[in-house]
Amino acid sequence: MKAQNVLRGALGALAAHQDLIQEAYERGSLRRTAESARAITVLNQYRLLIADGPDNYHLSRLLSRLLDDVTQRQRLYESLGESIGPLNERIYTLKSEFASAARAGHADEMDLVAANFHDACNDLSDAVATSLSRLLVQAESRFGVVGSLSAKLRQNEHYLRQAEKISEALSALERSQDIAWDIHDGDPLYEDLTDPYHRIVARRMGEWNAEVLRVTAILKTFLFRLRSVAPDVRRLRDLADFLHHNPGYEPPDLTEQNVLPEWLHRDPGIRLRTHPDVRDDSMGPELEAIARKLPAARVIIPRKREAGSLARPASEKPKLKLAPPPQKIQLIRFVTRAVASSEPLSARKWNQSENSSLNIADDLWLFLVMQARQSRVAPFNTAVFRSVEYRGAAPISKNVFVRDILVHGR
Amino acid sequence: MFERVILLLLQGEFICAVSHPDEYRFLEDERDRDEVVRYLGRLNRRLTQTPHQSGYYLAFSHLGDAERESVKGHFQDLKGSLGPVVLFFQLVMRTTSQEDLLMPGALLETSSIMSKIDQDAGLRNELQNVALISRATATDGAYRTMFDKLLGKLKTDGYLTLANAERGLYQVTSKMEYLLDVVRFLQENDPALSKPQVSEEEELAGTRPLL
Repeated sequence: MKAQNVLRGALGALAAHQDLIQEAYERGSLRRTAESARAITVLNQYRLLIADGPDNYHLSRLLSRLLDDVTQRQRLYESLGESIGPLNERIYTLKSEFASAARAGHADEMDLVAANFHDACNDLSDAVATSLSRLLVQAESRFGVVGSLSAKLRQNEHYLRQAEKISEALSALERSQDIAWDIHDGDPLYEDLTDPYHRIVARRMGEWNAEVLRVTAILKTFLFRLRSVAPDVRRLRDLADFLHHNPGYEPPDLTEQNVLPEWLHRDPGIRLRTHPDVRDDSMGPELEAIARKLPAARVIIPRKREAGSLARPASEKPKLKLAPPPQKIQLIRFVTRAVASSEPLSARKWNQSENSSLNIADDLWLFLVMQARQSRVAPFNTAVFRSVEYRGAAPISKNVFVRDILVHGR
Repeated sequence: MFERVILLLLQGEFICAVSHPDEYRFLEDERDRDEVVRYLGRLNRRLTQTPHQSGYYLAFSHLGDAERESVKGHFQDLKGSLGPVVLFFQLVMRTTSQEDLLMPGALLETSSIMSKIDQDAGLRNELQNVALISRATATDGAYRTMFDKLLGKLKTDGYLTLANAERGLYQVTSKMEYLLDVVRFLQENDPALSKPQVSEEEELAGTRPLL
């Protein structure tokens, strides 16, 4: 009950004073002031802050490591995988302790050791996983905390050594597991130990080994690239310096040489253009959609002009030629003749005899004559128009058909 | 994927893990790569890798008259872009103090670079100079606009790719390796570049330090 209260108190202190914890993590240390004195004392009691001197405090290393993992913060020359060996030893010590308790028949002690053994397995698993994740953060960030190539090289070499150390620790773990655990498999006495060990440690060995190999490969590739990019950086800087002093510099033309350098064989590429096959029916809907989106074409009629002159002299006004259409000329002729005639002239007969060259259909011609009836200009206003109508085959419809129009003078 | 890879190569693109991850993975497979190589061989072209094998690009197998013309055009373009690219990366390396920026995959964080440039008159001056040479000056005279224009140009030319538009993160592509190969060749073969770099004024005034 007491332990539970302490735990609740510690978690409460973490939540209540998160600003102070953040400050201590980011700045590396914290100074006691009149306002923060009480909070710092509480945090110090829970071992979350450790005193450096009378008024200076730093964050607990365990908490700091945890926050490093959470924020993926990179640190220089971290020691990784060191705890794997001792944690593995602890597991074997607890196993022996468990065997002694079993031999002595102390059931309570066996339960306590088994619970500790479970924790020890978790500690070992956490130690391996954390070391690998820290290593991966460093490898993937390309040691972003340092800028110069030489510093990055040193960091890379250090972390390659750390990867080797983790790999050796995992090999040792595997060897000890082969010797010590095989004999207990299936033994009901050791069931409380073999189950968590297999679940938390043994089954993850393959995954951890693969991860170490992967990170090592990343680090080695990066090391190789760092070594090869160093001369490139120097050359680029030299050329940049040269260009600052000689801004007009142009490389000599190398294209006339018989043997060109490899980089000059590069094909700069061609612009690829494709056209739809309009005969392909499957393209229909897409082409239609494209056509709908196209704006209406602007028609521009080109004007010919002689060299050294405008297309049309500004002084010259365009000559406008007005000529009535041929059917109108025929209409005027027909009505003029009908007005002058002693008897009514049939528009239909006129069309058949006089308009043969225009080839106007009878009904269209009759329509034109009917329209002319409403005109108030000569000769149409001097003529009388009489329609020859019939009701058709269906008188109920009330449609009236015009068969002919007779025209004569007033 | 075969079709996409062929089309990208024929359009003169560099294919690397940064610029075209899926296509690069396709080319990393030996069988797929062989298929691409065979197809390109029929077009008088071959698949080539950048000096440190981080990217693929297309090269002519034999140089006839038409290919020579193409090579000439390419060399003219390269002459035009060499200075601006070199000066830009020199500026960014100076600003960030990161020397591994020339490696494909390196990240350029626009806001962090710009905040450092804003605080340093020398860097601002250098940015203006690079923008002038690259014809990326800003009508509003803002340094940020100049820098964005330079990044845009390098992206269009294939040296950078936009990794995260929201955060303004750019990544260096394998084309940078190609350009560094050009720089190496020029420095080894152009007598003008192998001479000690002393400007006329410095030479006359004797102001350049000896070491």
